[in-house]
Amino acid sequence: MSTMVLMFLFFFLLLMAGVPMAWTTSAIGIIFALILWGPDSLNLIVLRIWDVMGSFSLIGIPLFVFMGNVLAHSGTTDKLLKAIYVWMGPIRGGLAVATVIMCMILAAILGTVGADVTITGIVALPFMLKYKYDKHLALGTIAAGGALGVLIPPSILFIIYGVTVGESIGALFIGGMGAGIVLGGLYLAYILVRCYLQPELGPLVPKEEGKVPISQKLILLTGILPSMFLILAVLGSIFFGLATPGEADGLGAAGALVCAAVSRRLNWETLKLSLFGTMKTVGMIMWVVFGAMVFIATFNLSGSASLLTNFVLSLELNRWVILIFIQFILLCLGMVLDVAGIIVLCAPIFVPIIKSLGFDPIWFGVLFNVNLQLAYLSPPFGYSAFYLKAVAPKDCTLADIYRGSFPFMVLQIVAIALFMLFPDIILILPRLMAK
Amino acid sequence: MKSKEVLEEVGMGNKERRRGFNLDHIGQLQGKLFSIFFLVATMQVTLEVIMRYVFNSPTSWGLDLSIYLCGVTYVMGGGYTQTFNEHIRVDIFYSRWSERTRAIVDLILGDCLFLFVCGILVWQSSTWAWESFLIKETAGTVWDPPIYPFKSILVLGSVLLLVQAFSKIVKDFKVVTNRTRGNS
Repeated sequence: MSTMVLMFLFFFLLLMAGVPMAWTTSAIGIIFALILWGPDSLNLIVLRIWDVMGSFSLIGIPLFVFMGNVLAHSGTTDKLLKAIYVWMGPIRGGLAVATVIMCMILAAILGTVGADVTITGIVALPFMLKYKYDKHLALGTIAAGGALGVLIPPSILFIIYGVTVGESIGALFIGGMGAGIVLGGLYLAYILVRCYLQPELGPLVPKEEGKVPISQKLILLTGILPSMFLILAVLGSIFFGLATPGEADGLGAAGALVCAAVSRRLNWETLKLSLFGTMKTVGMIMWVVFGAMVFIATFNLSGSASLLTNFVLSLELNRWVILIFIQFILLCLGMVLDVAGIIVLCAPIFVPIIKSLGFDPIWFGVLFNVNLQLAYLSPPFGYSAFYLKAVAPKDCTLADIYRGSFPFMVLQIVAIALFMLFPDIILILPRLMAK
Repeated sequence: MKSKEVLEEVGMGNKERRRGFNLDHIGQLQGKLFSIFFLVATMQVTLEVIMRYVFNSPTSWGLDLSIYLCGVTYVMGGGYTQTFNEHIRVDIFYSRWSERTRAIVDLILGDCLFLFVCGILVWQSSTWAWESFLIKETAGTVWDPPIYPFKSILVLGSVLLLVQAFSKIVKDFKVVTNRTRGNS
């Protein structure tokens, strides 16, 4: 027990001092292994890293990040935004609705909350403010919509979860899709109802500006067809079992290159920007994973993990109470830690508990991610809010963003309750998948 | 032409070029060089799927190769990301400190741990890769390629990361000493 407490104590102290997560976790893992078992045990570190390097499932991460980078740098995402705005402009609150839809589509292309919020913030926010949308509604929509990036597949976090606990990544992807659509639907319904009741929050786009001839609209629509096709192809090939998630992401990246080439935006500079940008993101994510793997290896070998499981089970609480308590811990961690780190650290500890309580690990994986959505928005350290603040105009303060996000956080809690009451919302699609 | 900020974010701006040679250039070079593997892996995975469905003859080496290509980038990305000092950290307090305070705290804590981890990695990975080389270990898969070259990549990556650890220490040290001189 003392090993466990000490490991986490040092972990939090070092993190608060601003030590990068990768060095914190691996250093603690190494030092405790040295103390507990001496220098002979250190080959453990190399073996854990070797597991990550040799994992077939993880190749989805670089390939998917590469796909997103190519699409973003070749201007395909800009076209997408334009088309959605033109089509959604003429309804009350239409721009906010368009923003949520855009976030959901970008989530399927980009897969990181940072990229999703930044792009939407740069493009959608000035647009909504220009047409006199309520500031809080506009900010909240972007912060919450952008956070969907981790829930709607292909999501990097699901790949990491699947690899750390040994569950099917394809099933997680497809389950996340159901949850993401429900959550996005809740956001849309909320915006439409609220703007219907209070038209001043989301006024109509003025007639003369909003009117775009239908031929123009159709041309814009054809512009986004390739990227929509790409999304469907990636998800479809996973759903029907034609390709593994890793292969599907590779095909997606190849498709993104073709899309960029067709629209004549594929040049040396775009390619270099995409490749280098991917390298940076991969370096960031994978070293967090390496470090957390070392930490967890020591943690498990010292017997702390099974001790914790037995301790929780010996409490003999109602299993839903334990589940809600676990979610509360995730929420607290999510306020301070990076989400990839939370998954590698917490999933190996919580999933055995969840399994022995008789819950479905796929369902828990998706629920885990919905909890992280909440963590992205919650003050004091909502990452989604930080990303948005970085690109928002000066008169939009962090307090404004948090205030705007609040209704969406309520919706997220509603969604968590829904998923707990009706697990089938998440599980029905994975069951239909080709095995 | 992309904006300057976008280019500088991945080390393609002029800022990097203007300075004379420093250790960061090694990290930049390793990242940019190995990033081509993403393109190769993309094409290779596509080829593999085409071979399987169109020609009905999946290759024996496709799976292993895509894993190795990506595995190399994970290791090499560490040093590259470090040159931008963008490894993920909790910056609740960190972001509020002055540049000098950050450098001091990093020198005392972060850099020491970084150096320590790199040192252990270099030591452990080299003995491990050497053993693999001595027995001419192979992967044991259908393709069964020799595995020690891939294992040596981890050694190379660890050494390069160690270089970046020194670079970070030098940079922090400069920040601390420069300010002291400026104030006196």
